[in-house]
This record gives sequence, C-alpha cells and structure tokens, in this order.
Amino acid sequence: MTQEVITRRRPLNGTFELTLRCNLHCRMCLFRHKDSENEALRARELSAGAWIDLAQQAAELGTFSILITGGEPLLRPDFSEIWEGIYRKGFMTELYTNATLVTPQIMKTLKKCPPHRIGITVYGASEETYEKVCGSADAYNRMMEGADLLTELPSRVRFRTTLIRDNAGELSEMERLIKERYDRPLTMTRMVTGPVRGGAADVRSCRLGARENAEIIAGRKHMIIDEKVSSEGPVAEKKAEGYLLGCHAGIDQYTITNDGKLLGCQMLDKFATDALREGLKKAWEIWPETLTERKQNVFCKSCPYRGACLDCYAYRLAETGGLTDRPAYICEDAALMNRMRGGKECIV
Amino acid sequence: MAERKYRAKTDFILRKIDGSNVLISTGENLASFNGYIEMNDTACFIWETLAEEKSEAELLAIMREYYETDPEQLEKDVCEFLEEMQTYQMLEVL
Repeated sequence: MTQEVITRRRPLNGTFELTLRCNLHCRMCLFRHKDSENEALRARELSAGAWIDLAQQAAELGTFSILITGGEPLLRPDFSEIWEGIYRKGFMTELYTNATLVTPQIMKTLKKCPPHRIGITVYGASEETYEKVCGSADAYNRMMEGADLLTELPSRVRFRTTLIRDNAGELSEMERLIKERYDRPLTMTRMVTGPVRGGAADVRSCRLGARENAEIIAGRKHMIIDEKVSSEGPVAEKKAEGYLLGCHAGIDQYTITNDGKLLGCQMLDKFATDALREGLKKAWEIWPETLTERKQNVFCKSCPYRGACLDCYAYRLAETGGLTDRPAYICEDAALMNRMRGGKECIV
Repeated sequence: MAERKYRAKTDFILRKIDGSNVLISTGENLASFNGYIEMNDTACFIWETLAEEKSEAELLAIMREYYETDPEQLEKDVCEFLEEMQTYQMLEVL
C-alpha cells in the first residue's frame, strides 16, 4: 500500500447494519441465517446507545452519509430511537427496507426525521410470488401499504428488485406496478452471488443462469450496467497497483456490522477491525493493516473479457469461498456482456 | 414598523466534511430542499452569526468588524445571500 493511498482515505460514507435478522426469508438473501431469530445473534447486536455513540464518532470523523440497513432494520424494536439519534448528528441519510414493517410509530419518527433517500426492495407483484421468494404471501400487501406511506415522505424513494427463477417471470408486472402506483422506475440488482458472512441461503438453486440474467439486462435498456465496469479491467486487478481492494471499500466507505466490526464492504468480512472496542477512528485508521492476505487472481490477468467483468474480492469470496479462485458465474457473465457489447463470441 | 430579523433554521445542520463547510438539510425542511449546500468561510460566518436572530443592519455591522472590504459591496453580497437563504427556506423571518 502506498503513502498516496493512505492520504486519500476519507471515511465519507458509512453503512450501519443494525441487524442481520429479517422478517422475510428470501431464498437468495446473501446474509440470511438459518435461524435469524437466534438468541446468540440477537445478543451480539449493538444497543441503541452504542449506535448513537458510533454516529457521534462518525460525525467527528467527517462521515458525510450514513446508510441504515440490515437484514431488515425496521425489525429492531428500538429502530425509532436509533434512527432519530443518528439523524440528529447531521448526515445525508438513506434507509434500506423491505417496507413490510412500517408501523405508525415508525412513520411518526420518519415524518419528524425523514430520510434523504429510501431504498425499497420489491420481490414480486403478487402474493403468490412473495410466498415463493420470501416465504410470506402477506408480505406483498404489507409492502404495498408500507411503500404507500414511505412515498408520502419528502424522501427520494427508489425501488429495486433481485430476480431469481421464482419472480423473473413477473418482472414486467413489477415494473408496471411501481410505475403506475408510484411513478418510479424499478431497478435490478445486477448480480446475485452466493451467501456471505454465515448466510445459509441456497442461492445457486434459485438464481438465474448467467445467460438468462444477461438476456434480461439486454432486454431492458433502462438498466445501467454496474459502474465498476470499465475498459481498465476488473476492479480486483487494480489492487495490485495500490488501490487497496480496487473499489471504494476502505477508501471512502466503510460498514459497521450489527456487532460492531468495521468492514470496508458489507459483503466482505475477511478484513475487519473492531469499531466497538477500538473506537471508530482507530478502527478506520488501522483497517488497511488487515489486508495482508489478499492475492491477485491469476486467471484474470490474461482474460479477454476483463473490460466487461464485475469481479471483485467480495464476489469472489461469495462465489468460491476464497479470494483467489475463479468465480465461474462471474466469468460467464463477463463473457456474455463482452459479446453483447460487440465483442467476440465467448467460450467459458 | 419594526425591522425584520432573521434566524438560521435549526433544521439545517452545519458539518465540517473533508475540510469543507457543509450545511445539511434535515427534518421538515426536506419538503422544500432535500440536499446539502457547500459554503465558503464567509457564508459560514453569516450562518453561524444568525444562530441568534439578527436584523440585516445588525448582521452588516458585525460583518464590517470582521471583513475589511468595500461597504457597498459587502451590503450587496449580504443582501443577496439573505435572499438566497430565504429562497431555500433556510431562515426563520421574525
């Protein structure tokens, strides 16, 4: 790591993961545990006071924006206390939610302290599809009721979905629903990778094949291919040149996990410091020292599709369980994307 | 008629971010302005001065103590900034 990189590190964007627990049980969730109400998991979660103290430290450290996420953050019974305590420190705030747990108490808090942005996840356009994807038919109606309330706030609301085999056929209906009811577009998670951080979901049995995924993207012109793609090659390649993990992780963004660890990226717990014990400032400062194990993926060096590739350390870990193996799903996607851009026929 | 007085709304929170003065809109104010404003040091000085209510004349008098500049230009700049802040509903007008 070069001195230049150290001096450019600024903790501008923080993610506070209030919980990994969720009221839904989505088949493709990266983080979902087998028993998400596990007492041991609950007991490790930071208290409201600890979150508010971390927010104070983040403000002093110069953090500009805070994303509150989970799991499902509204599942915390003390969500209102946490949200208001963080909000009053003065950040640009964003809330990620599945919108199924929007109670009058939560709306009272959010009216007083409206998020600057809200991201609502949508998993289907019918009870049947919600049952298949999330294990709850009723969640569909609760999502709509919640979204109706959240879109009344002065927040900028975005809707997004993750497509798997169970809801891909309903994509057009989902888009129409969000357009007609809320006059907003629906965006899609670009890549559905394997579980991380102890997540138990069997993503591989339910996600679309790389070809199906790529064809959906090709068929929808409003989809924006991930900004990480560039002619310079996959982001993971850049790390060898001194960019830490090759992305924003640990450069200008960080995540605090539900139990107080500091990560560069919410998906990647291989490199962590302890914000609760060390304090946020020190945890941020010493985080690059945890990156000793990283190695470059030798397969990527000569790959002809690297300009269309989304590969990164987090995806690689999620797909292969390690940092250096070849993530076949990502490789296939890169080859298909390369072809769609007019590149040569791909062999993967 | 009593002179109008101005006070900075507490819904805007002033932060120092990476060396810049950033005023973040929060609370009910999001309905009229959902975002943030970067301010130079002079604008920041005015904002902090208006934490307590001031008339334009009082504000100008304080500014003249701190800034050695053409009085007419100063008055023009302060007047414009006050108007701009009212456009974004950043001030309580008392």
